[in-house]
Amino acid sequence: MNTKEIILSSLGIRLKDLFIKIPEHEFKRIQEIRLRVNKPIMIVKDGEFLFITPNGYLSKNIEQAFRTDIRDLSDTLQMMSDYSIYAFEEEMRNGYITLPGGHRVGIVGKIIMENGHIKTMRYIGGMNIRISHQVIGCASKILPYLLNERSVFHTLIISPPRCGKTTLLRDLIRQISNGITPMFKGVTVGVVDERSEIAGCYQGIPQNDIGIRTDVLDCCPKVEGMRMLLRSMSPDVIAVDEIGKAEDIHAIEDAMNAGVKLICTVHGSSLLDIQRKPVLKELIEKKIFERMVILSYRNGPGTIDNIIDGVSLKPLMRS
Amino acid sequence: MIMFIKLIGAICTVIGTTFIGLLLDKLDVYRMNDLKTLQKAFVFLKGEIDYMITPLPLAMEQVGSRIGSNIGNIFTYAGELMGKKTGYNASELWENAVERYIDDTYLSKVDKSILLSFGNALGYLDKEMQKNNINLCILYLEDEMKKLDLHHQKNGRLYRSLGILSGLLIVILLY
Repeated sequence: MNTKEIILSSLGIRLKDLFIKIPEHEFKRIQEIRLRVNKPIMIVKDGEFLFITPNGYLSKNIEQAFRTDIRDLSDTLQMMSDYSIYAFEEEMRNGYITLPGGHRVGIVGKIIMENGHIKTMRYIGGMNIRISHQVIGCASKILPYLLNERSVFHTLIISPPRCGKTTLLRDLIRQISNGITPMFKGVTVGVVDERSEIAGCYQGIPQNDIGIRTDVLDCCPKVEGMRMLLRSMSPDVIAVDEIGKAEDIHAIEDAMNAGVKLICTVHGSSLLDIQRKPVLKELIEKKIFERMVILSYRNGPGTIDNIIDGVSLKPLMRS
Repeated sequence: MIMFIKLIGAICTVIGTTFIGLLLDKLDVYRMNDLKTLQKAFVFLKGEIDYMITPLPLAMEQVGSRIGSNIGNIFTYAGELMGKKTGYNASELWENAVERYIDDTYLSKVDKSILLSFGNALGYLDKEMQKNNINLCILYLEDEMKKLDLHHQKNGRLYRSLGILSGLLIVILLY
Protein backbone atom coordinates (compact mmCIF):
# COMPACT_ATOMS: atom_id res chain seq x y z
CA MET A 1 0.00 0.00 0.00
CA ASN A 2 1.36 3.44 -0.81
CA THR A 3 1.06 6.44 1.48
CA LYS A 4 -2.14 7.74 -0.07
CA GLU A 5 -3.86 4.37 0.23
CA ILE A 6 -2.84 4.05 3.87
CA ILE A 7 -4.11 7.52 4.73
CA LEU A 8 -7.36 7.03 2.79
CA SER A 9 -8.05 3.76 4.56
CA SER A 10 -7.73 5.55 7.90
CA LEU A 11 -10.31 8.23 7.18
CA GLY A 12 -14.07 8.30 7.78
CA ILE A 13 -16.24 8.01 4.69
CA ARG A 14 -16.83 11.75 4.15
CA LEU A 15 -13.17 12.66 4.48
CA LYS A 16 -12.16 9.66 2.39
CA ASP A 17 -14.40 10.85 -0.44
CA LEU A 18 -12.77 14.27 -0.15
CA PHE A 19 -9.13 13.25 0.01
CA ILE A 20 -9.42 10.71 -2.78
CA LYS A 21 -9.81 13.71 -5.12
CA ILE A 22 -6.31 15.01 -4.37
CA PRO A 23 -3.98 13.91 -7.17
CA GLU A 24 -1.14 11.54 -6.27
CA HIS A 25 1.70 13.98 -7.03
CA GLU A 26 0.20 16.61 -4.73
CA PHE A 27 -0.53 14.10 -2.01
CA LYS A 28 3.13 13.13 -1.92
CA ARG A 29 4.08 16.64 -0.86
CA ILE A 30 1.64 16.83 2.05
CA GLN A 31 3.35 16.83 5.44
CA GLU A 32 0.42 17.19 7.80
CA ILE A 33 -3.35 17.02 7.76
CA ARG A 34 -4.99 18.82 10.66
CA LEU A 35 -8.59 18.09 11.54
CA ARG A 36 -10.53 20.07 14.15
CA VAL A 37 -14.22 19.74 14.97
CA ASN A 38 -16.29 22.41 13.15
CA LYS A 39 -13.15 24.07 11.78
CA PRO A 40 -11.71 24.03 8.28
CA ILE A 41 -9.32 21.20 7.48
CA MET A 42 -5.78 22.46 7.30
CA ILE A 43 -3.14 20.85 5.18
CA VAL A 44 0.57 21.53 5.47
CA LYS A 45 2.16 21.16 2.07
CA ASP A 46 5.76 22.24 1.45
CA GLY A 47 5.67 24.09 4.77
CA GLU A 48 2.62 26.11 3.79
CA PHE A 49 -0.82 26.02 5.48
CA LEU A 50 -3.58 25.38 2.95
CA PHE A 51 -7.31 24.70 3.08
CA ILE A 52 -9.09 22.06 1.07
CA THR A 53 -12.22 22.83 -0.95
CA PRO A 54 -15.10 20.34 -1.24
CA ASN A 55 -13.78 19.52 -4.72
CA GLY A 56 -10.42 18.43 -3.35
CA TYR A 57 -8.44 21.50 -4.46
CA LEU A 58 -5.85 22.88 -2.09
CA SER A 59 -6.30 26.63 -1.71
CA LYS A 60 -5.41 29.51 0.55
CA ASN A 61 -8.96 30.86 0.46
CA ILE A 62 -10.76 30.14 3.73
CA GLU A 63 -14.15 30.96 2.17
CA GLN A 64 -14.21 27.70 0.20
CA ALA A 65 -12.66 25.58 2.91
CA PHE A 66 -14.20 22.23 3.79
CA ARG A 67 -15.20 22.08 7.44
CA THR A 68 -15.25 18.88 9.47
CA ASP A 69 -17.96 17.96 11.94
CA ILE A 70 -17.79 15.82 15.04
CA ARG A 71 -18.85 12.70 13.13
CA ASP A 72 -15.98 13.00 10.68
CA LEU A 73 -13.52 12.84 13.53
CA SER A 74 -15.19 10.01 15.40
CA ASP A 75 -15.54 7.98 12.17
CA THR A 76 -11.90 8.66 11.36
CA LEU A 77 -10.83 7.55 14.82
CA GLN A 78 -12.80 4.33 14.35
CA MET A 79 -11.02 3.67 11.08
CA MET A 80 -7.60 4.45 12.51
CA SER A 81 -8.12 2.11 15.44
CA ASP A 82 -9.68 -0.62 13.28
CA TYR A 83 -13.01 -0.06 15.10
CA SER A 84 -11.19 -1.05 18.29
CA ILE A 85 -10.41 1.93 20.48
CA TYR A 86 -10.16 -0.53 23.36
CA ALA A 87 -7.02 -1.99 21.77
CA PHE A 88 -5.41 1.47 21.68
CA GLU A 89 -5.91 2.58 25.28
CA GLU A 90 -2.21 2.99 25.98
CA GLU A 91 -1.76 5.04 22.81
CA MET A 92 -4.79 7.19 23.61
CA ARG A 93 -3.31 7.89 27.03
CA ASN A 94 -0.16 9.14 25.32
CA GLY A 95 -2.18 11.17 22.85
CA TYR A 96 -1.30 9.51 19.59
CA ILE A 97 -1.91 6.51 17.36
CA THR A 98 0.60 5.23 14.82
CA LEU A 99 -0.74 4.09 11.45
CA PRO A 100 0.85 1.36 9.32
CA GLY A 101 3.86 2.92 7.60
CA GLY A 102 4.85 4.95 10.66
CA HIS A 103 2.51 7.89 10.15
CA ARG A 104 1.77 9.36 13.53
CA VAL A 105 -1.62 10.80 14.42
CA GLY A 106 -1.72 13.19 17.37
CA ILE A 107 -5.09 13.39 19.11
CA VAL A 108 -6.58 15.95 21.50
CA GLY A 109 -9.86 15.93 23.35
CA LYS A 110 -11.28 15.62 26.82
CA ILE A 111 -8.99 13.72 29.13
CA ILE A 112 -10.55 11.41 31.73
CA MET A 113 -8.53 11.14 34.94
CA GLU A 114 -8.56 8.33 37.48
CA ASN A 115 -6.54 8.34 40.73
CA GLY A 116 -4.45 11.24 39.46
CA HIS A 117 -3.49 9.45 36.25
CA ILE A 118 -4.77 9.87 32.74
CA LYS A 119 -7.24 7.06 32.14
CA THR A 120 -8.34 7.71 28.61
CA MET A 121 -9.49 10.38 26.18
CA ARG A 122 -13.09 10.92 25.18
CA TYR A 123 -14.78 13.48 22.92
CA ILE A 124 -12.07 13.97 20.33
CA GLY A 125 -11.61 17.64 19.43
CA GLY A 126 -8.78 17.54 16.96
CA MET A 127 -6.29 15.39 15.14
CA ASN A 128 -3.01 15.93 13.39
CA ILE A 129 -2.03 13.32 10.84
CA ARG A 130 1.71 13.60 10.30
CA ILE A 131 2.68 11.85 7.13
CA SER A 132 6.10 10.34 7.48
CA HIS A 133 8.26 10.51 4.39
CA GLN A 134 11.13 8.23 3.59
CA VAL A 135 13.80 10.36 1.97
CA ILE A 136 16.30 7.78 0.82
CA GLY A 137 19.78 9.29 0.80
CA CYS A 138 19.03 12.37 2.90
CA ALA A 139 21.75 11.40 5.37
CA SER A 140 24.48 11.03 2.73
CA LYS A 141 25.70 14.59 3.25
CA ILE A 142 26.35 14.22 6.97
CA LEU A 143 27.57 10.63 7.00
CA PRO A 144 31.27 11.44 6.30
CA TYR A 145 31.30 13.47 9.51
CA LEU A 146 29.79 10.69 11.58
CA LEU A 147 31.84 7.71 10.50
CA ASN A 148 35.26 6.59 11.57
CA GLU A 149 37.00 3.59 10.06
CA ARG A 150 35.20 0.78 11.80
CA SER A 151 32.16 2.34 13.36
CA VAL A 152 30.23 5.52 13.95
CA PHE A 153 30.62 8.30 16.50
CA HIS A 154 28.13 8.77 19.32
CA THR A 155 25.77 11.16 17.60
CA LEU A 156 23.05 13.50 18.80
CA ILE A 157 20.65 15.01 16.27
CA ILE A 158 19.18 18.28 17.54
CA SER A 159 16.13 19.59 15.73
CA PRO A 160 12.95 21.59 16.22
CA PRO A 161 9.71 19.71 15.48
CA ARG A 162 8.87 19.13 11.78
CA CYS A 163 12.43 19.61 10.52
CA GLY A 164 12.96 16.03 9.45
CA LYS A 165 14.70 14.66 12.51
CA THR A 166 13.10 11.23 12.35
CA THR A 167 13.47 11.08 8.56
CA LEU A 168 17.19 11.82 8.88
CA LEU A 169 17.61 9.27 11.65
CA ARG A 170 15.83 6.64 9.56
CA ASP A 171 18.09 7.15 6.58
CA LEU A 172 21.15 7.23 8.80
CA ILE A 173 20.15 3.87 10.25
CA ARG A 174 19.54 2.47 6.78
CA GLN A 175 22.93 3.54 5.44
CA ILE A 176 24.91 2.49 8.51
CA SER A 177 23.16 -0.87 8.51
CA ASN A 178 23.51 -1.54 4.77
CA GLY A 179 27.05 -0.15 4.64
CA ILE A 180 28.40 2.27 2.09
CA THR A 181 30.71 0.75 -0.46
CA PRO A 182 33.62 1.02 -0.47
CA MET A 183 34.29 3.14 2.59
CA PHE A 184 32.11 1.58 5.26
CA LYS A 185 31.08 -1.98 5.97
CA GLY A 186 27.64 -2.23 7.48
CA VAL A 187 27.22 -2.75 11.22
CA THR A 188 24.41 -4.25 13.28
CA VAL A 189 21.96 -1.59 14.37
CA GLY A 190 19.39 -1.98 17.15
CA VAL A 191 16.46 0.41 17.07
CA VAL A 192 14.18 1.10 20.02
CA ASP A 193 11.15 2.51 18.25
CA GLU A 194 8.99 3.75 21.09
CA ARG A 195 6.42 5.43 18.84
CA SER A 196 6.69 3.19 15.77
CA GLU A 197 7.85 6.19 13.78
CA ILE A 198 11.33 5.15 12.70
CA ALA A 199 10.66 1.73 11.26
CA GLY A 200 6.89 2.14 10.93
CA CYS A 201 6.33 -1.42 12.09
CA TYR A 202 3.07 -3.18 11.43
CA GLN A 203 2.62 -6.29 13.55
CA GLY A 204 6.33 -6.21 14.37
CA ILE A 205 7.58 -6.04 10.77
CA PRO A 206 9.29 -2.82 9.63
CA GLN A 207 7.42 -1.16 6.76
CA ASN A 208 10.12 1.41 6.07
CA ASP A 209 13.51 0.56 4.62
CA ILE A 210 15.84 0.61 7.57
CA GLY A 211 18.63 -1.61 6.29
CA ILE A 212 19.58 -5.26 6.28
CA ARG A 213 21.39 -5.37 9.63
CA THR A 214 18.72 -3.63 11.68
CA ASP A 215 16.70 -5.13 14.54
CA VAL A 216 13.68 -3.21 15.80
CA LEU A 217 11.97 -3.32 19.17
CA ASP A 218 8.62 -1.82 18.31
CA CYS A 219 6.50 0.24 20.76
CA CYS A 220 9.06 -0.41 23.49
CA PRO A 221 9.96 2.16 26.15
CA LYS A 222 13.49 3.45 25.49
CA VAL A 223 15.08 2.53 28.80
CA GLU A 224 13.90 -1.09 28.85
CA GLY A 225 14.38 -1.41 25.12
CA MET A 226 18.02 -0.34 25.15
CA ARG A 227 18.78 -2.83 27.90
CA MET A 228 16.92 -5.61 26.12
CA LEU A 229 18.82 -4.98 22.90
CA LEU A 230 22.13 -4.90 24.75
CA ARG A 231 21.46 -8.24 26.37
CA SER A 232 19.88 -10.04 23.47
CA MET A 233 20.88 -8.72 20.06
CA SER A 234 24.54 -7.62 20.50
CA PRO A 235 24.18 -4.45 18.43
CA ASP A 236 27.13 -2.29 17.36
CA VAL A 237 24.93 0.77 17.22
CA ILE A 238 21.71 1.60 19.06
CA ALA A 239 19.39 4.26 17.67
CA VAL A 240 16.57 5.93 19.62
CA ASP A 241 14.27 8.85 18.93
CA GLU A 242 13.51 11.84 21.19
CA ILE A 243 15.51 11.38 24.37
CA GLY A 244 15.13 13.81 27.26
CA LYS A 245 14.03 12.08 30.46
CA ALA A 246 16.49 11.54 33.32
CA GLU A 247 16.15 7.76 33.10
CA ASP A 248 16.97 7.87 29.36
CA ILE A 249 20.35 9.31 30.25
CA HIS A 250 21.19 6.40 32.56
CA ALA A 251 20.27 3.90 29.89
CA ILE A 252 22.42 5.80 27.38
CA GLU A 253 25.38 5.68 29.73
CA ASP A 254 24.83 1.96 30.31
CA ALA A 255 24.88 1.32 26.59
CA MET A 256 27.99 3.43 26.10
CA ASN A 257 29.79 1.58 28.85
CA ALA A 258 28.98 -1.63 27.06
CA GLY A 259 30.88 -0.34 24.04
CA VAL A 260 27.85 0.30 21.88
CA LYS A 261 27.66 3.43 19.73
CA LEU A 262 24.54 5.56 20.07
CA ILE A 263 22.54 7.70 17.71
CA CYS A 264 19.83 9.76 19.37
CA THR A 265 17.59 12.66 18.48
CA VAL A 266 16.34 15.43 20.72
CA HIS A 267 14.01 18.42 20.40
CA GLY A 268 15.81 21.76 20.35
CA SER A 269 16.87 24.49 17.99
CA SER A 270 20.51 25.01 18.92
CA LEU A 271 23.29 23.74 21.14
CA LEU A 272 22.54 26.57 23.56
CA ASP A 273 18.96 25.45 23.71
CA ILE A 274 20.04 21.95 24.75
CA GLN A 275 22.51 23.25 27.31
CA ARG A 276 19.67 25.05 29.08
CA LYS A 277 17.88 21.76 29.78
CA PRO A 278 19.27 20.28 33.00
CA VAL A 279 19.26 16.63 31.94
CA LEU A 280 20.76 17.18 28.51
CA LYS A 281 23.24 19.73 29.82
CA GLU A 282 24.85 16.95 31.80
CA LEU A 283 25.30 14.91 28.63
CA ILE A 284 27.03 17.77 26.84
CA GLU A 285 29.25 18.56 29.81
CA LYS A 286 30.33 14.97 30.16
CA LYS A 287 31.18 15.09 26.46
CA ILE A 288 29.26 11.92 25.91
CA PHE A 289 28.26 12.66 22.33
CA GLU A 290 31.12 12.98 19.88
CA ARG A 291 29.08 14.54 17.09
CA MET A 292 26.06 16.81 17.20
CA VAL A 293 23.98 17.51 14.10
CA ILE A 294 21.73 20.57 14.22
CA LEU A 295 18.76 20.79 11.85
CA SER A 296 16.60 23.76 10.94
CA TYR A 297 13.80 24.73 8.55
CA ARG A 298 15.77 27.45 6.77
CA ASN A 299 15.78 25.74 3.39
CA GLY A 300 12.80 23.48 3.98
CA PRO A 301 12.70 20.34 6.12
CA GLY A 302 15.98 18.56 6.66
CA THR A 303 18.29 21.56 6.35
CA ILE A 304 21.61 20.71 8.03
CA ASP A 305 22.45 23.81 10.02
CA ASN A 306 25.64 22.66 11.61
CA ILE A 307 27.66 19.67 12.72
CA ILE A 308 29.53 20.14 15.98
CA ASP A 309 32.39 18.15 17.46
CA GLY A 310 31.08 17.11 20.87
CA VAL A 311 34.45 17.18 22.55
CA SER A 312 35.82 20.53 21.42
CA LEU A 313 32.34 21.98 20.74
CA LYS A 314 33.70 23.44 17.50
CA PRO A 315 31.71 23.37 14.27
CA LEU A 316 32.87 20.84 11.66
CA MET A 317 30.63 22.03 8.88
CA ARG A 318 28.54 25.03 8.10
CA SER A 319 25.97 24.99 5.36
CA MET B 1 -67.14 -43.70 -2.63
CA ILE B 2 -68.11 -40.15 -1.65
CA MET B 3 -67.90 -41.16 1.98
CA PHE B 4 -64.40 -42.38 1.39
CA ILE B 5 -63.29 -39.11 -0.21
CA LYS B 6 -64.91 -37.20 2.63
CA LEU B 7 -63.02 -39.31 5.13
CA ILE B 8 -59.71 -38.63 3.39
CA GLY B 9 -60.53 -34.90 3.30
CA ALA B 10 -61.38 -34.93 6.98
CA ILE B 11 -58.14 -36.69 7.89
CA CYS B 12 -56.14 -34.22 5.78
CA THR B 13 -57.82 -31.27 7.49
CA VAL B 14 -57.10 -32.60 10.96
CA ILE B 15 -53.48 -33.40 10.06
CA GLY B 16 -53.04 -29.94 8.53
CA THR B 17 -54.35 -27.97 11.49
CA THR B 18 -52.42 -30.21 13.88
CA PHE B 19 -49.21 -29.32 12.05
CA ILE B 20 -50.05 -25.60 12.15
CA GLY B 21 -50.51 -25.94 15.91
CA LEU B 22 -47.20 -27.77 16.28
CA LEU B 23 -45.43 -25.23 14.09
CA LEU B 24 -46.70 -22.29 16.15
CA ASP B 25 -45.44 -24.12 19.21
CA LYS B 26 -42.09 -24.88 17.57
CA LEU B 27 -41.49 -21.28 16.46
CA ASP B 28 -41.05 -20.30 20.08
CA VAL B 29 -38.59 -23.16 20.59
CA TYR B 30 -36.55 -22.10 17.54
CA ARG B 31 -36.48 -18.47 18.67
CA MET B 32 -35.35 -19.63 22.09
CA ASN B 33 -32.47 -21.54 20.47
CA ASP B 34 -31.43 -18.48 18.46
CA LEU B 35 -31.55 -16.28 21.53
CA LYS B 36 -29.35 -18.74 23.40
CA THR B 37 -26.86 -18.82 20.51
CA LEU B 38 -26.85 -15.04 20.39
CA GLN B 39 -26.17 -14.86 24.08
CA LYS B 40 -23.29 -17.28 23.68
CA ALA B 41 -21.90 -15.16 20.84
CA PHE B 42 -21.93 -12.05 22.99
CA VAL B 43 -20.16 -13.87 25.82
CA PHE B 44 -17.46 -14.97 23.35
CA LEU B 45 -17.18 -11.44 21.97
CA LYS B 46 -16.76 -10.06 25.47
CA GLY B 47 -13.95 -12.50 26.07
CA GLU B 48 -12.20 -11.56 22.84
CA ILE B 49 -12.40 -7.86 23.69
CA ASP B 50 -11.72 -8.09 27.39
CA TYR B 51 -8.97 -10.70 27.66
CA MET B 52 -7.48 -11.08 24.19
CA ILE B 53 -7.90 -7.44 23.11
CA THR B 54 -8.53 -8.73 19.58
CA PRO B 55 -9.33 -5.96 17.10
CA LEU B 56 -13.08 -5.84 16.43
CA PRO B 57 -13.11 -7.09 12.80
CA LEU B 58 -11.10 -10.18 13.71
CA ALA B 59 -13.06 -10.71 16.95
CA MET B 60 -16.34 -10.60 15.02
CA GLU B 61 -15.13 -13.14 12.46
CA GLN B 62 -13.81 -15.47 15.13
CA VAL B 63 -17.05 -15.32 17.10
CA GLY B 64 -18.98 -15.93 13.89
CA SER B 65 -17.00 -19.02 12.97
CA ARG B 66 -17.17 -20.44 16.50
CA ILE B 67 -20.93 -19.95 16.74
CA GLY B 68 -21.72 -21.03 13.18
CA SER B 69 -25.39 -21.22 12.14
CA ASN B 70 -27.39 -18.29 10.90
CA ILE B 71 -26.58 -16.16 13.93
CA GLY B 72 -22.88 -16.64 13.28
CA ASN B 73 -23.36 -15.26 9.78
CA ILE B 74 -24.28 -11.85 11.18
CA PHE B 75 -21.00 -11.66 13.08
CA THR B 76 -18.86 -13.07 10.28
CA TYR B 77 -20.33 -10.70 7.73
CA ALA B 78 -19.97 -7.66 10.02
CA GLY B 79 -16.32 -8.64 10.62
CA GLU B 80 -15.70 -8.98 6.89
CA LEU B 81 -17.21 -5.57 6.18
CA MET B 82 -15.11 -3.96 8.90
CA GLY B 83 -11.96 -5.62 7.61
CA LYS B 84 -12.44 -3.91 4.24
CA LYS B 85 -11.81 -0.47 5.79
CA THR B 86 -14.42 1.21 3.65
CA GLY B 87 -14.74 4.31 5.81
CA TYR B 88 -18.24 3.59 7.13
CA ASN B 89 -18.50 3.48 10.89
CA ALA B 90 -19.00 0.33 12.91
CA SER B 91 -22.69 0.83 13.69
CA GLU B 92 -23.56 1.30 10.01
CA LEU B 93 -21.72 -1.88 9.06
CA TRP B 94 -23.28 -3.82 11.92
CA GLU B 95 -26.75 -2.66 10.89
CA ASN B 96 -25.95 -3.75 7.36
CA ALA B 97 -25.00 -7.23 8.54
CA VAL B 98 -28.06 -7.53 10.81
CA GLU B 99 -30.44 -6.46 8.03
CA ARG B 100 -28.91 -8.96 5.65
CA TYR B 101 -29.03 -12.04 7.83
CA ILE B 102 -31.79 -11.49 10.40
CA ASP B 103 -34.48 -12.91 8.10
CA ASP B 104 -32.64 -16.25 8.07
CA THR B 105 -33.14 -16.51 11.84
CA TYR B 106 -36.18 -16.85 14.08
CA LEU B 107 -35.40 -13.63 15.95
CA SER B 108 -38.27 -11.19 16.49
CA LYS B 109 -38.49 -7.43 15.98
CA VAL B 110 -37.66 -6.87 19.64
CA ASP B 111 -34.52 -9.00 19.31
CA LYS B 112 -33.53 -7.03 16.24
CA SER B 113 -33.87 -3.74 18.10
CA ILE B 114 -31.59 -5.13 20.83
CA LEU B 115 -29.01 -6.06 18.18
CA LEU B 116 -29.19 -2.63 16.56
CA SER B 117 -28.86 -0.79 19.86
CA PHE B 118 -25.74 -2.89 20.53
CA GLY B 119 -24.37 -1.66 17.21
CA ASN B 120 -25.01 1.98 18.04
CA ALA B 121 -22.40 1.86 20.76
CA LEU B 122 -19.91 -0.17 18.76
CA GLY B 123 -16.48 0.95 17.70
CA TYR B 124 -15.76 4.13 19.56
CA LEU B 125 -15.78 3.04 23.19
CA ASP B 126 -12.94 2.06 25.50
CA LYS B 127 -12.72 -1.44 26.92
CA GLU B 128 -14.78 -0.84 30.05
CA MET B 129 -17.63 0.80 28.14
CA GLN B 130 -17.54 -1.79 25.40
CA LYS B 131 -17.85 -4.51 28.04
CA ASN B 132 -20.76 -2.73 29.69
CA ASN B 133 -22.46 -2.42 26.33
CA ILE B 134 -22.20 -6.17 25.76
CA ASN B 135 -23.35 -6.93 29.31
CA LEU B 136 -26.39 -4.74 28.83
CA CYS B 137 -27.17 -6.57 25.64
CA ILE B 138 -26.85 -9.96 27.34
CA LEU B 139 -29.17 -8.71 30.09
CA TYR B 140 -31.82 -7.71 27.55
CA LEU B 141 -31.51 -11.08 25.85
CA GLU B 142 -31.95 -12.89 29.16
CA ASP B 143 -35.05 -10.83 29.80
CA GLU B 144 -36.44 -11.78 26.40
CA MET B 145 -35.68 -15.44 27.07
CA LYS B 146 -37.54 -15.33 30.38
CA LYS B 147 -40.55 -13.75 28.74
CA LEU B 148 -40.46 -16.28 25.94
CA ASP B 149 -40.19 -19.17 28.36
CA LEU B 150 -43.23 -17.97 30.26
CA HIS B 151 -45.12 -17.43 27.02
CA HIS B 152 -44.17 -20.88 25.84
CA GLN B 153 -45.25 -22.60 29.04
CA LYS B 154 -48.58 -20.81 28.93
CA ASN B 155 -49.32 -21.11 25.26
CA GLY B 156 -47.34 -24.11 24.00
CA ARG B 157 -49.86 -26.76 24.97
CA LEU B 158 -52.69 -24.43 23.93
CA TYR B 159 -51.31 -24.18 20.38
CA ARG B 160 -50.89 -27.93 20.10
CA SER B 161 -54.36 -28.86 21.38
CA LEU B 162 -55.95 -25.95 19.51
CA GLY B 163 -54.42 -27.35 16.33
CA ILE B 164 -56.11 -30.75 16.65
CA LEU B 165 -59.36 -29.39 18.07
CA SER B 166 -59.83 -26.74 15.37
CA GLY B 167 -59.27 -29.43 12.76
CA LEU B 168 -61.95 -31.58 14.36
CA LEU B 169 -64.28 -28.57 14.61
CA ILE B 170 -63.94 -27.85 10.89
CA VAL B 171 -64.61 -31.50 10.05
CA ILE B 172 -67.70 -31.65 12.26
CA LEU B 173 -69.06 -28.39 10.84
CA LEU B 174 -68.54 -29.54 7.26
CA TYR B 175 -70.27 -32.87 7.87
